[in-house]
Amino acid sequence: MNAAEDSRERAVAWAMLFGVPASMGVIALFVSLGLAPGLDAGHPEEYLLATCLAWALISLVIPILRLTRLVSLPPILVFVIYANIYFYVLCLCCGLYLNVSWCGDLGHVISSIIVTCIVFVAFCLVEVHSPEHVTFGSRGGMAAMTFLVALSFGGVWEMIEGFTDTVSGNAYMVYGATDTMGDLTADLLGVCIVTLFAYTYLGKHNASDIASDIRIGRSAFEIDDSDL
Amino acid sequence: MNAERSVATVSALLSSASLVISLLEYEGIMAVTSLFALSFGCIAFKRCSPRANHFLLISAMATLLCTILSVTVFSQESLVDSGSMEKVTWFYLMALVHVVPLLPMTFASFFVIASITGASYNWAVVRGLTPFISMGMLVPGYVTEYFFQDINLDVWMVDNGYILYGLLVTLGITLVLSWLVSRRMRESHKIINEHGLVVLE
Repeated sequence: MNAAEDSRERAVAWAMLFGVPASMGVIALFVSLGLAPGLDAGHPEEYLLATCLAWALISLVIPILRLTRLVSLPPILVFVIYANIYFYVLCLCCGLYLNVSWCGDLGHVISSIIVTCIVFVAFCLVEVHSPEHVTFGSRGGMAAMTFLVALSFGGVWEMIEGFTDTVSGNAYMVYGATDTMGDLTADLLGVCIVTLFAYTYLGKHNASDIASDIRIGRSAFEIDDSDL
Repeated sequence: MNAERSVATVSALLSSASLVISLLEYEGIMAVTSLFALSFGCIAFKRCSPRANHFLLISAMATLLCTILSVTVFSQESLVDSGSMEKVTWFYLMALVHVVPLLPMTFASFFVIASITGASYNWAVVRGLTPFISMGMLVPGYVTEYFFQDINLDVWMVDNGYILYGLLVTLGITLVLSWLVSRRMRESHKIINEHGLVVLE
């Protein structure tokens, strides 16, 4: 990468580092002032505030990784990850999860799509950077593994929800077995969509096409202005 | 070839029997596990080594046994409704019953996928992916239970603990098992590829 690209990416990362937590703070302010419709819908205030805080902290990971020159993701992937974070937090604080029947399911489908994309990208990286004797095989092998592994993250999310409620002693996140099974069904749909996409995409491209858009390790961030 | 055919036929019959029983009894997780056993068995007959086929026969036997247990002596009516067992203890018991056939099935998935796609997995991939694959195989089971509940409202869906304990027990057991298997693979310099479990040259 050249100095101009590096400078531009670092500026975006700094903006994300402060901008996203600040926007979460604004949403939290609306909650603490009692102006968030999610409160009227039935979500406890502490749950909504904890959600804003948790996602504000999680949102720091990607810019910190970029600023410390460890990992850089393609802009489109970063965009959809953050769009999904805002979708989740805003739907929760606006009460849409409780007031609009399909909102929770749609949220799970979108989240599942993004998680499956991340799993697929991770497998592409493994394919490219691992020793020669380690491979996911043809595009069918990559798609099958993506499908099987990505499915589990729906279960992981439900475990996190259950763990949160067990630790807090309240029913903040779990609304019963039917809700959980509905969430898992939505997750399955999202996984199927991306698996089909991955299978189709790998028909004309290969794993290195995706892996080349991701920089990992400090050596990948070395400035090279020789092409200028 | 005849011996292999017999093994595959028995394996398919056992998996099919398990599938029919679980569908009739609305046992969603075992229905999906049976389906995995049946499809893996069919693929293994065409593509995998005799050893892999014997391995899948054991999976099919475990699947049928666990299906019968889960709808008879270990069923909710037999243990929880009759008051002989606490609900939470039953969650753990059912989690164990569901995970037993999934363990060989998870490792079989590496062999089956490798045989079709030319994939090759070393110890690190097996260690890293095994717990996720096992948990992933459970998810369609819960989705099936969700549809069973819609079809037959008499199917009593216990509560969230049934799902969460199932996932948690699966995660715990597969973490330990994947560590043991991958350590063995690492020590013996073996990989899983289209020829089965082979020594890395």
